[in-house]
Amino acid sequence: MKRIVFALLALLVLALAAGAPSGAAASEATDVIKYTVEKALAILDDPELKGPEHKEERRKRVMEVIEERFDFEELSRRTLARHWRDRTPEERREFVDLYTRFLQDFYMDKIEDEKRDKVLFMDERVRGKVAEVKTLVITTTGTEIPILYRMKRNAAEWKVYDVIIEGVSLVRSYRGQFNEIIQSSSYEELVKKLREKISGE
Amino acid sequence: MKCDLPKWFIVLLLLAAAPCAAAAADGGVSGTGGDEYALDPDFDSDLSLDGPPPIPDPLEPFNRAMFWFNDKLYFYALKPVARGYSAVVPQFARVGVRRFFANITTPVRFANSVLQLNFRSAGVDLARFVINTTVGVAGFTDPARDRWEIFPVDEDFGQTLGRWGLGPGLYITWPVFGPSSARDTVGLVADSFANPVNYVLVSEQAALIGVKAYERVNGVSLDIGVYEDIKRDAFDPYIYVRDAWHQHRENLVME
Repeated sequence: MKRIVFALLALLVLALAAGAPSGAAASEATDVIKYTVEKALAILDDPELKGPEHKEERRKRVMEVIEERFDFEELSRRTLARHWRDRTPEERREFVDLYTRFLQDFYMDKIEDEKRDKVLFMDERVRGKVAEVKTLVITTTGTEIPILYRMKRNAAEWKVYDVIIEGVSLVRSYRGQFNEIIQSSSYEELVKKLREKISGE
Repeated sequence: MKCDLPKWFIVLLLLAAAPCAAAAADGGVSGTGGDEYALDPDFDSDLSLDGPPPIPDPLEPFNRAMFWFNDKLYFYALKPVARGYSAVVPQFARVGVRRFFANITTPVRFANSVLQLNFRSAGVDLARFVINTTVGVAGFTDPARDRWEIFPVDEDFGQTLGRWGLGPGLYITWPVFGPSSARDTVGLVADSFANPVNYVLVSEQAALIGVKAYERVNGVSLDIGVYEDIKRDAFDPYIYVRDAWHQHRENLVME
């Protein structure tokens, strides 16, 4: 009798173990993106924060939400690719800081768009320690913009390392351009250009 | 998670050696190393790669000249005209016109879905056409999307050729029409034979050009700011547009 109970328990545990990780992981990836996007949209749609006079406050609060979910160091590392290895720790820190500021403005413009009607959470794929969550931004101008979030699991957390808008990867687009600048002139030139972009906003 | 056979076929081709069981368990058990590449071919943990190569661009001087021309065309002709037009025509009407044109070009997308053996996409597009032409009043509204959540598909002959295994070839910027590739230029010409607009106005060259220009102005009026954003976000707008366009197209082929 004891043996049968033990066998049944073992089976149950096995079934749970087999089912649980995929089930939990499957909804988890979408859940974290949904949480971040909805929190950011709630700030953007807050009537008290509307209008250009609240732009700074609004953006600051959205950035806090984004920083919880985005891994900007990973984004920077992947964008610089092999040039990352040639940088000193100070240079890396500086680059992450500049690139983060640049990307926040870039991404903010995309989600602050007044043409946004709603955001739908469509689909997700999980492979090993990478997940992809597909969202669809419905606009008021008769178009749909697919935005994909690619995430990597760091310790116990999913962190965004790339955003793909209409099939165009943020990391890949800037990797190509940055590589061009570094190869045709220098890394210092890239830093200079980044600073100009940020202050030009 | 829906089982989309053609998509899996591509993924399987890429993986080559991946066991079918792993592919069937979508979003399932985290398996052996390298799985990440199935989802993100650009997933490179040791930074040894520069990622997939960009599209070949031997015509760069010509393309840059055309890019400059199109840039001026946009700022000095298209945009001002579109602004004037949008001051007169309310947005809902312009969205309606955009949808009307999208609806009547269903034969182009349908034919290409079938050529790619993507019957799901063909079915979706047919369903959208039937619903939007009737309930949606000749395609001016999109109840298929708004009421039944049937989202539009995007298929053309350039993608069909890509699906059949043809690479994009070289990058080319056409005056007026913008970024394209050798493959997609062939696709554009082939698709024009399936576009009903071209048949209705086959003997009326001037009217045909007028209709095309109108469709373009209508589209631009709804998308003012998009190109400006691209230029502002870019360090080299030409390279940015070229790479983004290439990524966008290859992604459509894969879907």
